[in-house]
Amino acid sequence: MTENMIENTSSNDGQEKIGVYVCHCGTNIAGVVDVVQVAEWAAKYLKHRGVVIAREYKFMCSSLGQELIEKDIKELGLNRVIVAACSPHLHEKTFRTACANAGLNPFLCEMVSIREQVSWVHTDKAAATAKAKAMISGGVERVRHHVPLEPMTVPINPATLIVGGGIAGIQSALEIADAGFHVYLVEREPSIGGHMAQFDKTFPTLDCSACILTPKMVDVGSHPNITLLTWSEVEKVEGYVGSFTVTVRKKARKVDEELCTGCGICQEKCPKKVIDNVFEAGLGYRKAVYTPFPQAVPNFPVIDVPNCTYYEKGTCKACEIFCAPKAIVFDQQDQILTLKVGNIILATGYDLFDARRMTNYGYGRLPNVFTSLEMERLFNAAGPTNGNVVLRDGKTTPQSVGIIHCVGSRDKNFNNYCSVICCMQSLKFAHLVHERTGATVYNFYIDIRAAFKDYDEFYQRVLEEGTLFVRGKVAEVSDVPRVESEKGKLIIQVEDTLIGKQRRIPVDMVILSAGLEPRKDSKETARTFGISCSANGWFTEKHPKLDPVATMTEGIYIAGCAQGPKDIPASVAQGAAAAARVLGKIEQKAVALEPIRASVVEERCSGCRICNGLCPFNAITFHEDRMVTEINPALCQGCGTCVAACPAGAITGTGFSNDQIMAQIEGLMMLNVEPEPVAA
Amino acid sequence: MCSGRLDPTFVFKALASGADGVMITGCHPGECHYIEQNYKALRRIQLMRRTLQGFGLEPGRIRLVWASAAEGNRFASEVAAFVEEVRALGPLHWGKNGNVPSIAAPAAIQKEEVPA
Repeated sequence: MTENMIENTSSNDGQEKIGVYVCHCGTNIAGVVDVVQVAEWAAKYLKHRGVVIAREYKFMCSSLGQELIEKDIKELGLNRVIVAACSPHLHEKTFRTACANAGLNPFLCEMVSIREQVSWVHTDKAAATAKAKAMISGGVERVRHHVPLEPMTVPINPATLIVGGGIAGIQSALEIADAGFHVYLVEREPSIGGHMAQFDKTFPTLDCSACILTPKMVDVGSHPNITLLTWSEVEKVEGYVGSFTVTVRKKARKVDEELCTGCGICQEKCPKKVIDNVFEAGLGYRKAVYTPFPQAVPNFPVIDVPNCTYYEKGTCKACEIFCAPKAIVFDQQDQILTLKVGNIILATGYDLFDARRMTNYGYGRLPNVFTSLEMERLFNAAGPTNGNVVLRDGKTTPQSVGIIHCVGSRDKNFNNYCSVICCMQSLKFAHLVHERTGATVYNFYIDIRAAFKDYDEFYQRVLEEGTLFVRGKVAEVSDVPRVESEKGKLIIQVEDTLIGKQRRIPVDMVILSAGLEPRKDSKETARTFGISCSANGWFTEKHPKLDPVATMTEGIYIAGCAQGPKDIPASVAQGAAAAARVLGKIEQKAVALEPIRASVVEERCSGCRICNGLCPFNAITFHEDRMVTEINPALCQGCGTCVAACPAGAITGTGFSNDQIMAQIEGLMMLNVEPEPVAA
Repeated sequence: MCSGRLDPTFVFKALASGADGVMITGCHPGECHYIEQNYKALRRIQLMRRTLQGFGLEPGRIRLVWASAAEGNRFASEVAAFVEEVRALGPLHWGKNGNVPSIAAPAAIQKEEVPA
């Protein structure tokens, strides 16, 4: 679009031919707003403001509805379109495309949200109808000041950043790398694998978790298209879809990755034992120089600086002495890497609910109360007990075990939501305890949620194995006996809601099926990447049903538990889905950016430099020679702060100009329509 | 539109056009989609309150609410509370229409708003 045409359109005041289209959205809007009356009103009372036609239709977004608009543009010569329907998030693109199909610049179409902002939030029909009219009046006034815009296209960098090396991130990385594009996989722990690497068996098939995970980890480690950055964290993200600049801190491993052969002699010789709170869930030890587990990818160890004797006392260096390739580098520093990528996938996973918060269950106070993650390590043949299910003393096999569901989930005191995996995980524990120890197993549940393929069959199987199910939320786990038979046991106090009685069930071991929570730092992560998260801290998807892996920030996708609790198959599906979305973007080669940008009219700029310090995107530069400010359209994100700040009115924002907003305010306040009798 | 785009004249324009109160909403501090521009809005709000007082108006006719997309209930209750506060302050009668009730608000509310 040339400058001339823009000026022509904006200056042909009185020449606007506006079409107003009011959507029923079935009964979504029409149930509350009198849409027929609204359309009639717009045609009559906004006629002098350029409205030449106002229609209502059942579903404006349907192909018939769109054809209606296209036909009117062609036959009536409309040069502005107002669609009063849902939020522009949903259908702005639909109607802009319809306008473009009929030869109208898509940015001459404006949506008025009378569903999300009117019918869905009001019950008073008369008031809602009046509000819809006011909002349409605002839209009409605004659209008169719209000018044709051309979207800016920017090339897409084919490289992708994936944050989080759990199963979701691994799946995404492999999908994209296999398609021939480069991936940077950033993981903050020393190895990829995530929570899945800690598990023993996976429900409902009882596949060995490591057996199905480690081949994928090895694929990631050896893939020519994947740059694996473990023991690293993203510090800063700048830019926009197609060209993000990401700053990554590669923490000092104190081990030279070029020289290290992964032989493991350093771990063997290190004299310092440290309780492993991450991988072994506090049940086992690791050395101060360590790889979290034998199949770690990459297999280079990390020196745990706060626990290493050398950093504490200045002597030891046992690892350095025994390292044949001389790979130990005590003075290695953190590295700051700058990555250029076009798209980002966040698969940062979850944290386990801290069972100590439910003090009535005694975790941390009563030794034989275990969390689900601890149990995973106890069951695991590579775990601290070589797969033997024993009490905290390390030798006694339990004769009776109580598994408590919904710990920290479906509980108004902690988290209202269902953590999805705990029922199936508890059933898996019931099966494994039964198989390994022959103990009597009780499951204390509120409801059993065994949805999805083969899950309920697994529940039936566990029932048939003789596991006992007690329906009721456990009140307390106590070690204070009331009768002889309770001595030395943990007593589970529960109301059995199926027989309507309080019961006290003595057991040797209690397993708390703790829920899933967002990562403690998920809100900071969301801020770093410019996406939003729910009040809990789960990342918010673009649409809960139809766009579950995209976010409101273009070019940033989410997968796995970072979006909400889910099991392994769902995480893998999301990882692959996010990868498919990224591949789709890469194949487009270029992306059209909203032409919502600020620009400086140099003749009006006084060179006061007030705007210079306001831009967080460094899009504003000041030309000392000409004493004027200029805005780089590729860096401008369209927030409009500089537009509002300019005392000379020299900065204009396309799509949100002062004229547009002022006119919209007048329209909303109905200053443009002749006052109608109140009774109407 | 980012709250950083808020030109104080928009608020006065709304009041001058017949609004009795203006609510400005934005992302929570530290959660701005445009990094930090809501802080700019915060500064401008202070300026607007002082200007309002200079006009002899109650600063309570302007309210700033931080709300995230996940806080629908909170947003609704803030709107309801603000409506009650502005109703208590009474109509401003600044609009072009003067005392003619605007059809933007239902008749029932208009009647209540007339001070005794």
